[in-house]
Amino acid sequence: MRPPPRLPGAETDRSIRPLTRRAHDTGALYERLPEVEAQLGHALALEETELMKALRHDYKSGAHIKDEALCYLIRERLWGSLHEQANAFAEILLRRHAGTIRRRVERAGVEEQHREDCGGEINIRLLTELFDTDSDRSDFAQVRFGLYFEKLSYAVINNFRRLQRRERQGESVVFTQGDDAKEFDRLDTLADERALSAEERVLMREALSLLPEDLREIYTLRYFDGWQIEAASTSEPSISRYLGVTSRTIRNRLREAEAILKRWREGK
Amino acid sequence: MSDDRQVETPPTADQIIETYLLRREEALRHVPADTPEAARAARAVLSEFMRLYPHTAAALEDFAATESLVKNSLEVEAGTESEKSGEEEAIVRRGMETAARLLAARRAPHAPEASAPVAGLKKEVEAHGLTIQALASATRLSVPLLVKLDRRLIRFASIPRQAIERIGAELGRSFEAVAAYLQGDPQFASQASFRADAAPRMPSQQDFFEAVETDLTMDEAQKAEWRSFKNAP
Repeated sequence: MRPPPRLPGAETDRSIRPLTRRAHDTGALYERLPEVEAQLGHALALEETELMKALRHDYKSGAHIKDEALCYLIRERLWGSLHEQANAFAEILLRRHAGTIRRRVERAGVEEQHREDCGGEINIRLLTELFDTDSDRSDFAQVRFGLYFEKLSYAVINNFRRLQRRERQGESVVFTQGDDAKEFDRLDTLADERALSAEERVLMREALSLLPEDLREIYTLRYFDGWQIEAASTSEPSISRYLGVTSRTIRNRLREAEAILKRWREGK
Repeated sequence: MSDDRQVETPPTADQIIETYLLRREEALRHVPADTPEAARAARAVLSEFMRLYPHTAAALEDFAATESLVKNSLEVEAGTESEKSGEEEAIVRRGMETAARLLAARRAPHAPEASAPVAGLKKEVEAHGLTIQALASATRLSVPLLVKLDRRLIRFASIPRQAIERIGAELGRSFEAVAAYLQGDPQFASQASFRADAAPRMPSQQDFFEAVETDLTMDEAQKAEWRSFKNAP
């Protein structure tokens, strides 16, 4: 459902427009948090210079205006054709999250030569959706901006990573099965019962940085998230289906990862 | 029995992932974070959604896998604070270029008719209710350089394509319309006065990149950005 159009030149109605997007399972309309509604009520009553000053408060300040509210304010300025102000608010939003984008793209293993493009693409998606005042597809940004931004940025990152994986897919992993491999296979069958404890997770994250990105991903999905290597059911997440490789390849890579981690443990 | 039910459009992957995130947030509300219990609860919600919405199962898997990799990876400590800051500034800069293009596209329906030639960069800016400073900021050019372009004091062949694209995007005008304007004859400044007994002398046209290098108002980052276009296609 689209928000009602505003006539050009119409006196600005500073009441807060409701969200029109719905949760698909319950059909309930999305709702802003009460804190966001309260911030919007306050922000819409401010003069422009006061509002710009208020938007500069960072997360640590009690006067910080949440990203959910900032997204609404950007759209509200666009509805009123106040483009320079919308532009200024958009810059504030981008500056707030530039660090998050940089870290996310780096941690996801996007190759260095593609990182700026990946970050740029994330911003394109964010702004295209926010500025699309004819649709409600960015309503979720006003409900939970953090989750919305994760959804959007991971989708872009995933596209870049898929391209990288295709480039690497010709590589084959050859692993000679020895006693260690047999032990690994035995442990792997017990993986569901042997999920990493909270303490092990903290320790293992440090070790994960030793693994090449493709091994790290498989290891994380298997032992942090408990994904099956190969699932019989299509409604169970499966590492081999996700990566588009055989379960044998997955097991070979897990053995390779375990060999690296074993050397790390012995070195400690 | 005839089926006269309306065929519903299946929900998009975006809609499903949003709902999945809300339900997962509810499921994990009272579960200690970063524990096997939390991983099991999250996986249960993921499986439920993959079962309910098989046409988005791959998208759900993709999202969950990328999220896992990012959240379980430590930040690589490569690069100085200055380099990281530079990367973040580049991210913001590209975002603002996108914002400028999107805003220009919004203004396009109210802009002068697309078929009308560009009457001047300053005139176009004023017609859009902008300032020359705003155009400079959006295009990453400088005010002095825009003034020179407006007066066609920059040799057209030296102007990089990117400059024309950015100006066109901001003014809601086509590349061809802006390029046609910039190829015209040089103009005097509107305030120019001259003695009746001496013909005015038109300054010779300057190379775009020379104008960039000698521009006192451009910072080094801007100059470096334009230098990078010098030999680009």
